[in-house]
Amino acid sequence: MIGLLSFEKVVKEYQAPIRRLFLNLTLGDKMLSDDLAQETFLKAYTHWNSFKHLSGTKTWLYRIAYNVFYDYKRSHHIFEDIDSVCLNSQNYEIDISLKSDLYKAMQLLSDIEKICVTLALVEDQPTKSIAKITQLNENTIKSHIRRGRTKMAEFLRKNNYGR
Amino acid sequence: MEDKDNILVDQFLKSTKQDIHDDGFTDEIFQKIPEPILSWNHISQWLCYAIVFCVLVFGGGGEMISKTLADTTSYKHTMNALMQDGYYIIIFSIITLNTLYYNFKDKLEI
Repeated sequence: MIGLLSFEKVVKEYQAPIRRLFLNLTLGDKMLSDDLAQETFLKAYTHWNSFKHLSGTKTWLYRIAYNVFYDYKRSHHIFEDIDSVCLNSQNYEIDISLKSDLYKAMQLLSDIEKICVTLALVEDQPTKSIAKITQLNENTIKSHIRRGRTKMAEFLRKNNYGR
Repeated sequence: MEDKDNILVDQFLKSTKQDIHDDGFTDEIFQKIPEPILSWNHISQWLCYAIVFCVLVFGGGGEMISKTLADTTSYKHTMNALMQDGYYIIIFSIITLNTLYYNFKDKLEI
């Protein structure tokens, strides 16, 4: 069992990437993404003894987050539409219109594409780590990233980005 | 074209990457951490159970107490028997505590 002081360090170090992942998956729903992130860390705390350190702590936490997300999806069938999510700008440093476009672009992706794109392009995770997190093979991961990028690129061009 | 699209998407995602501060998030988690299955309170309870178990089983305390109550002249015999059995009580208490510790130490909050 991990001590409370050590666990506090783990939470402080990894809370940002985990919460960021859930923000992208929930299209900016801060309350829901924080709930899912809390559930992730609580599961990590109670299952710390089963962590064999074969992968890094971050990869292991992402794996738990991935399972938490899909458990939530199974029990609740849809996330709110982007228009009904309150894009509260507290605690965020990016322009609200940029944030809105980010989640509109994310909305075009399937869940697995969102996960792969976020982990690879936002969190700079190598394909090998994403494969461990999602239990998919690396070629499948690359396909999801490629498709996600294509969909996002189309959205961004239509909305005058890159001109 | 694909390279340009990749650059466009990558730059967009980097520019929208949010730096999320710990705004009480860690504190909320700690409020929800479940109580460990065993704590020192639980251990002291188990210690008492172990001692009582040893006294009753290995000291034959139950039978001796009832005999003592029935006949006061047996008091000295009872006390002698308990003194002899006391060594066994101590040894088995140590064994019980040791067993508890090694079985449950992962769940202890120390």
